[in-house]
Amino acid sequence: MKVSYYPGCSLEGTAADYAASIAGVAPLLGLELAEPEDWNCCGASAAHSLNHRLAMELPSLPIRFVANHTIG
Amino acid sequence: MDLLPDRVIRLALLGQEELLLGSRTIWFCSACETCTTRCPNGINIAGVMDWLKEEAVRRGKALPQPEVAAFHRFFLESIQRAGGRLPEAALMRRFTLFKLRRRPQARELWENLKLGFALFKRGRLRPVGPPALRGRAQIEKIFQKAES
Repeated sequence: MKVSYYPGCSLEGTAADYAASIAGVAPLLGLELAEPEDWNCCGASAAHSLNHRLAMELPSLPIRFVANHTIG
Repeated sequence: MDLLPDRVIRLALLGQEELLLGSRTIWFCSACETCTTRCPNGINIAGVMDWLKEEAVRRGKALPQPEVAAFHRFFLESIQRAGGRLPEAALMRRFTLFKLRRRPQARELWENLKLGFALFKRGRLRPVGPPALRGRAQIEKIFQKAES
């Protein structure tokens, strides 16, 4: 099964170990991971601590991408 | 934590703005949302904390822990400058220098360097940041709108 997979910035850096775990486990569960193209930072706790609007709008882009590319 | 979360809610109900906006608790909160999940009255306590943080900064309040707000601000500025994704190494560098300027401590610098090196050794600290996104202009627009 193909599933949308949004890793987020830290999985490319300080949380690379989580990314490796997910990449290792997913095929064993029969999951094919599909990253939304050109995904951006969700703003994390910094956005929702300082700017509610930013915390809503930043994650809306990758979500919109997934919504536009999901069939059925 | 100078105020327990239930007192934050009580003070909010009583309209004690000054006490709340100047409290350490709102900056101590790391938004794990356990309180929100367990609140028997269904109050979004972490959400209230967020609102108070944003409002304290907006009103230019003297913050009891300015380094927390500074970290959040650097975080967001880093995303904007890098064109969409967070350059973690650049953020760590800027935050470490900020803390050192406020309170120079050789020991803390040493601890930070050790941590940085340990992360680097395990491939968890990339000196080169993420590439700017194709949708960079759209990200910039979101930041511009959010700041206005």
